[in-house]
Amino acid sequence: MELRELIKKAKKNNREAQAELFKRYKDTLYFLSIKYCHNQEDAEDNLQDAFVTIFSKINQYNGKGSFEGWMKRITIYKAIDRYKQKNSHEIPISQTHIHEAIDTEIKSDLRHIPLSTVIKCIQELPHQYRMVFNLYQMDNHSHKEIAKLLSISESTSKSNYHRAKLLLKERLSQGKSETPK
Amino acid sequence: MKEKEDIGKIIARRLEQESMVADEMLWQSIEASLDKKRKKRRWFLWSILLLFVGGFGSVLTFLPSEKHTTETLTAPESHSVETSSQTIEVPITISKEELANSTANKDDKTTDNHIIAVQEQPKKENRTKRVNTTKPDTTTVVTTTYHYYNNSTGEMMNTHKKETIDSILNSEKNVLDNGKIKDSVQKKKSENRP
Repeated sequence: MELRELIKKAKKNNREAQAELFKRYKDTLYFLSIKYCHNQEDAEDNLQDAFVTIFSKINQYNGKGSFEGWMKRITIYKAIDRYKQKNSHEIPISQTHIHEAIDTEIKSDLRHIPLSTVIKCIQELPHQYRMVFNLYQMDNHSHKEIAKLLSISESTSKSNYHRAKLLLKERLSQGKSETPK
Repeated sequence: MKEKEDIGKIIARRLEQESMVADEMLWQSIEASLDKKRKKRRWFLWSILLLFVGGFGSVLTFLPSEKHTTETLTAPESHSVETSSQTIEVPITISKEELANSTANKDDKTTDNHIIAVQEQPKKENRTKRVNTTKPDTTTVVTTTYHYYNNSTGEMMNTHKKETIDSILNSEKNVLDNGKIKDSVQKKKSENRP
């Protein structure tokens, strides 16, 4: 069935159409959730919330942009909501500014590091660093947009991004050395 | 020798072509959540509908009683008659002939004598009774009493018969026509002559 037809049926609360849309996009959105969330369970919960919101608000999708992009945005916003809920109970991380000149470069050889290791390194980042890194690096948001989304300052967003890269470099270097040849 | 590259870009490129498989069982919990949400929505809509119907019903039941209240409230202002005293002066319906007669009598300078027509009503309790004028009270018997007061003699006469009063007035008129007034007028005329 065509995507347009599926969306039309899903708008009329057709369960089969909704199930078909779930089947088509569950992996993409799950992988997105995995990057933004702290662990697998959290990612699954986020995916569930995202799909419930997608099907509840599918009438708001006017068909102008990409449907996948629209669903991805909802999934990211859901992850941000979860982060904000958790962050309200946590002690805020240090906002010390890091100089731009700090070396975050690495020899571009990550192909031999397993995907699970890369994902684990991202997931183990402090929550705010992980959110900023994903939003900036993976989903091409500007620091201004990130500041607005996460209710932080632009400079904090920049420093969080650099800190995240430093931590990733450090952990991936270790992972690389641990990887059996 | 490999060139150094930004770690962020390397990771982004590494993850670009990857994907992970989500558990299909997730659909069941999503479906359950959707059902729950739909039930909540239905419940909300029903409660709004019930509230609306209830409100509308109460307005409908309240309206007639409100109308009744306004009627009873406005009635005393426009229609009620205070009957604390026993007699009430009301206008008498007089035929054209009678009216002509009475005006003629006035012209005959019988100004000292007054006809007072009083409508006497049966005794009522000394309390306010609200009478609806749109529905005339057929049980009340109205009798008219005519009073004749002679100023010169100081006599007061009460009768239910109008003819009696008329005959007195006619006799008085004849007397006046024939005698006193004419004489007095002639006297005045002679006095005025030089």
